[in-house]
Amino acid sequence: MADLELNHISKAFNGNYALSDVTLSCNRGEVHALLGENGAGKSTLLKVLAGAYHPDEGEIKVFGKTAVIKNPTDAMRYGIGCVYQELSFIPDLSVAENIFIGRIPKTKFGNFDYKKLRRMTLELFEKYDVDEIDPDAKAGMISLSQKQIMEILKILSKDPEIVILDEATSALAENRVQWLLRLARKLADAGKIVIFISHRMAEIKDGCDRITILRNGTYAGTLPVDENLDMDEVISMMLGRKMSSYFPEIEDCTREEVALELKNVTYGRALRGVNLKLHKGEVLGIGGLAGQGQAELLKALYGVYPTEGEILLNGKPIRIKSPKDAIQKGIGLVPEERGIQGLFLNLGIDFNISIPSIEKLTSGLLVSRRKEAELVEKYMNVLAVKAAGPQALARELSGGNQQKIVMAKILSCEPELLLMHDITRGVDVGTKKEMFGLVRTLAKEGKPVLFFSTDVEELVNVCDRVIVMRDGKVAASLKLKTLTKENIIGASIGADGKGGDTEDEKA
Amino acid sequence: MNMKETWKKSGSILMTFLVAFLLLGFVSIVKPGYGSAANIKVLSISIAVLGLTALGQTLPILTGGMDLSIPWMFCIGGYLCAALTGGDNGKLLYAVPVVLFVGLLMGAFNGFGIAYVGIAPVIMTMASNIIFQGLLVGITEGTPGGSIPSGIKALASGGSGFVGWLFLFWLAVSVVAWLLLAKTSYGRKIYAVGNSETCALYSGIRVKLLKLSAYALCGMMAALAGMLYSGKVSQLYLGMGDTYQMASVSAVAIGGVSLVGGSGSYIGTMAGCFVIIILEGLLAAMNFSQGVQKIIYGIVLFLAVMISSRRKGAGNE
Repeated sequence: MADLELNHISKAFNGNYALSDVTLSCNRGEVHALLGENGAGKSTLLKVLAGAYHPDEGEIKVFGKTAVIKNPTDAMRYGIGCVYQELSFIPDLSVAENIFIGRIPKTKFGNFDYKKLRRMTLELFEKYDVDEIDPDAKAGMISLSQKQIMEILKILSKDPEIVILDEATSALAENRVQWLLRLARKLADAGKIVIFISHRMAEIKDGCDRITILRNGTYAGTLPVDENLDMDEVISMMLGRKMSSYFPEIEDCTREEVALELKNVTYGRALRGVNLKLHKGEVLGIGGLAGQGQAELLKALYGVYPTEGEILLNGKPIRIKSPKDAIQKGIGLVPEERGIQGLFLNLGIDFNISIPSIEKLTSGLLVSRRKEAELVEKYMNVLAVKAAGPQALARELSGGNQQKIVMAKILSCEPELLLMHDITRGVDVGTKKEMFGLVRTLAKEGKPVLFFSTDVEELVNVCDRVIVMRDGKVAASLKLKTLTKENIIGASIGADGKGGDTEDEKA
Repeated sequence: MNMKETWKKSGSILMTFLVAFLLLGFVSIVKPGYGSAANIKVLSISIAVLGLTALGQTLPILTGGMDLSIPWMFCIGGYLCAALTGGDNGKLLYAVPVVLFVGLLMGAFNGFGIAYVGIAPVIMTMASNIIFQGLLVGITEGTPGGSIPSGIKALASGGSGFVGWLFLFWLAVSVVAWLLLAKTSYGRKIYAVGNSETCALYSGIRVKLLKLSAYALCGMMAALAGMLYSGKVSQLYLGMGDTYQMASVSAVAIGGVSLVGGSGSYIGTMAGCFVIIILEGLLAAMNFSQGVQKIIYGIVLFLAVMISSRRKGAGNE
């Protein structure tokens, strides 16, 4: 039996499984790496261990005893200390105060003993070989790398038996990365357990003993790190799918007519002059690093944000004043956050699907139940929604079916232009396939689709053409032979040699 | 599954009505004469006045807000009608639309502050309540001008057998309100906004305008109720709407409308009005002191709100 065991852990949020039957076991003296794509469930698993989430199923055993961890205080009692990916410090307190917050020593008069606090901090710094931070500096004023070190020391000062480092190296300066890897080894040698999360393969190869891989919230396997470790195998375990069977056949049905044209569209700092042409029947992907204006572009086209510059829909200049206006002009958006922007989780499927077209379903003064039922049934069939019935509540559905409802809701407005924001997030593989098929069908019908995805694989395999956004502008437009993952990533980080906006190529 | 939930919902409304009638039966036994036709008629009229304010209150609460300015919109409704008509029934022809319109405007003022300026509903309506009070007191200098037309008095205090005319009037208005909320696109949008403003916006609803309209309608109902109340009691006095501030909220909460918005039915509000008026009658009949009455009343409200928020909490998980 291992010293730390997480057995068959499952955790769902609103019917979406973030973790399903995940197992992790570590021993004292081990640095254990946890690997997986974004959204694979690494952070959720750690939060279960650290008491931030309570698992729906499964058990945790710490040093042979079944542990019930309901909150972070419980976790600390079991000797579990977690350095989170998101830093959480109080900017106005000093570094020393942040490290020992809640445990600041007092003098015999009952006020804080700052001399002793400073001494304790310096001792801690010396123990862990840190010298670049002033204990009296305000935490908000030091560099990101120093903040990360402060957070690490804060956890270590509590002498945990199990140390969790969630992407702790990503914020560290280069020399400190090596320091952390050495520190992890030292802690393990002292008989502690270190759980290490990182996206950098080199760090894992250098610093860890074993790897557990998660994929889509499930356990994909555990491998020892030795000279036989095959990184390709690790990556295929992380991705774990055969791409060919999963993506649709692309039949280019791009037509001559331009459906949407943007000329120098700007919005605040997010959009700094976007130029693009979207043709009828074309699936135009939007790629790029996170936060380059892609989300804002879609929202602006849906009337959520006001923009400057020219937007031409089917050749006519338009202003989109609100989402209502957008819907009336034939624009539909599948929004980013399904549970917040897309669905009324506590209401039924029928309500959710019919709400944007409710005025069209009214005959006389009252909503026609018959017309509504017909509409709901039609689109539940189009999207093959699996549910107990049209009145089933949205929150009771799986992630995939929820996404289908959002899709149904948008399609029921019969839009002429579709905007899609990461439609496959948190969606099971089967539904993904259906979604991609649907996107291609829409294109075949002549509908233009603007398809934003954070998954490069998706962009390459679903779209006719991909534009890459950088700094609120279109940095590249890729089609046919140039439409490859490498080119998209290259353009995302500006490694394609081109800068600023590129002339939109003629299709 | 969903049938069960529908049953659970209508079941709890039926329960509320049942509680009201059990209370009524109980008081009738304890206090002879309470169950007399004349007294029941008076009760039905009281239920109707509360019912009109609670009808208004249901709208802002369904959108996730609340209107605490009902008391002085209520008062203004009564005073304005008296001042405009001077007791002349003929002048009601234009006085009533003016009263309703002024109520609508006052409510729209609330709605503007809440939806467009972004002030928290409780703060906005508390402040406007004071503003409306100031306006009325300032203009009238505390003494009512004009007098209440006999037509209003007849409608609001008359009746036949067990029922007051006003009760029937309220039932008629209630049918319209129920249709509006349960059967029209406007009602759908109200529930949508109460469930999630963000999702409502993305679903093509003009959220701000809709919220403004909810408060405007609430103001209109408050002014109407105040006008009729003045007819019921045949007098006007400053502060005559004060009890309707909490009573309207309580009726909505007891009726099972979630105080965080988005769920519940107007029929529930109607049941809540029955419970509150009959409970008040019970407390008075038991000869409790004013203080004890208020305490019990407060506890009932507390329980109703607690149950209402529990229900929503369970719905979320």
